[in-house]
Amino acid sequence: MTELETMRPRWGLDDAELASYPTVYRSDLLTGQVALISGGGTGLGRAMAYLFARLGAQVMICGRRQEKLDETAAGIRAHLGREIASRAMTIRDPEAVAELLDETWSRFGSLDILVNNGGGQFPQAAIDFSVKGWNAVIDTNLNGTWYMMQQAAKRWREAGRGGSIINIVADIWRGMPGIAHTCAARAGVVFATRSLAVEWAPLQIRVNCIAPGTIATPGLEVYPEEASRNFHRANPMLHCGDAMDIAEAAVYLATSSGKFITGECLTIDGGQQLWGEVWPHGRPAWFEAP
Amino acid sequence: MNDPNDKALYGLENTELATHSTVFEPGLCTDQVVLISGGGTGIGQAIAYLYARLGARVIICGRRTEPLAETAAGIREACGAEVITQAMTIRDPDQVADLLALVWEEYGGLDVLVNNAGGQFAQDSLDYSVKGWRAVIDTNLNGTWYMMQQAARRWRDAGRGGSIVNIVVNIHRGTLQTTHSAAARAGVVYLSKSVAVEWAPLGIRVNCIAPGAIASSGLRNYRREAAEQFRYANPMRRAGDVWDVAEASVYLGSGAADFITGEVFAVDGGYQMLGEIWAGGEPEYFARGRGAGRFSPSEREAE
Repeated sequence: MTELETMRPRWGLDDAELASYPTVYRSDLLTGQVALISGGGTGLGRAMAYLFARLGAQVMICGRRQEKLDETAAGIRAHLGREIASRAMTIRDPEAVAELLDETWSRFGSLDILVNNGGGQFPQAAIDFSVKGWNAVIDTNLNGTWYMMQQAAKRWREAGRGGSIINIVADIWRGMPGIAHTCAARAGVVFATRSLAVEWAPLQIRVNCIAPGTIATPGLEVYPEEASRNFHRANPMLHCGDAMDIAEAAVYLATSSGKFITGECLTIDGGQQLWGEVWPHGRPAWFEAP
Repeated sequence: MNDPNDKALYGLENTELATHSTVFEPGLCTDQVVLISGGGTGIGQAIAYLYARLGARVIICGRRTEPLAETAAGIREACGAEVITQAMTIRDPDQVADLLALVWEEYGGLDVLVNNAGGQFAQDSLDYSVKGWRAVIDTNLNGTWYMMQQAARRWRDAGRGGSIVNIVVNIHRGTLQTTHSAAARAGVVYLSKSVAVEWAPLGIRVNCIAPGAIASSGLRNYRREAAEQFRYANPMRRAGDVWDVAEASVYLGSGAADFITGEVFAVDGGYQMLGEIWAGGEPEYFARGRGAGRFSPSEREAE
């Protein structure tokens, strides 16, 4: 290990911890349910795949890299003795999304829960965004999420049944300096969700969001160390959340406990929407105390 | 109940609260101490049942002895748990202090405070008396505050944290013919957001639940013709049940929510986006033109 690596904290729960972390839910809660989770190979998506599988759901994960998906599937097999399905694809491609939904449906015969967790961004001063960089973030986080929602809803309508959609967004409420593109994309998802919750209520489709604050996952390693050193100061609790905070919320919204909840965005951020600052690209000198 | 329609309006009966299935692990709240205001009736009663069934030691308070005793008896029968009851009003800061003292005396601590007590009456705002206005502010805002502050002081003095769950009302589009309640509940929401930060160093989490139309005995406070309409006031076009709010309370009070504070959780079937609740009945003005057909699809086609 290099000196830098030894200095850096390990971000997040490992697979063994995900498999054994105590949960508030009864162990058979999701038996017979089919859940599709995007971005299921890493971070929050992997944590959700573990929890949904632990509670008895049949799980399909997707993501860009087969290798990461295989890791999640192998971990769930090793730790929980359960098989999950996976498909490498990008949600940016509407046709790939349609094929993913087709495969999920043909494999499991139905779909109950769609968790749109796939997404991501790179920290950069907005003034330096390239057109390509901006478009990539909007395309993945907003357009990709939309393709998934529409494809799932069309199939639910055709099957004459409802379903539940959960979109993992971000703590957008006070803006997100340093990642303005993702703030715009996630805000788009939040308000698409509110619109669809009404439009699709006659179809018995519930649509909700979860807005995580700073959650310790291996994904945080993409940020500069100077920035990540202060991530715990992003909220009044002065610590990061963990992936199970988000996974348990997804279960809450997906199952009978959430049956009267639609169009809602549940913020899980240790109070970050009220106090604290996140500077994923580092804090400009302008904002230092005088 | 004689009218089958009562079920849709007034919700689950005690026998159902005793057996209704829950998403939570049995024993989730074992050894937790939970104080629930307004715990004798409606939503508060459901919260008391659920916490007791999950193993918590429950204290309920409310103004009237009788519903508290009935709830305690029902819970004893349902799961053998003994619930402590205290008849009092949260409007009186001294009675609130006495209540918290009782909780500490009986159980040596408190884990979750659910401020569910509250209420309002439907009336056109122009006609509110000073007394009527003050009563609603006093119960819903001041009473909730006394409870929060007393709990927080005791947690601070004991060197431990806790969790507060305030049941409010979905106020984001105002509340019609219950303006006093909108003002009081908005106060509780922003009070919660403020102390969520101020009390974070004490390890105290503070959150709100904003229910929409819930089928509960609380609807008996409204004219039946008005209350019959509440359940259509959301895109789901049905009322929620008291269990929806009870499970949300347990969730926010539990370890699953240990990274949630200062949040308002809407359990409202989408009412924050669509639907109207006229607590006293829809005024003629807003019914004007409904179904008049000027813009109906058939007329558009004809044109």
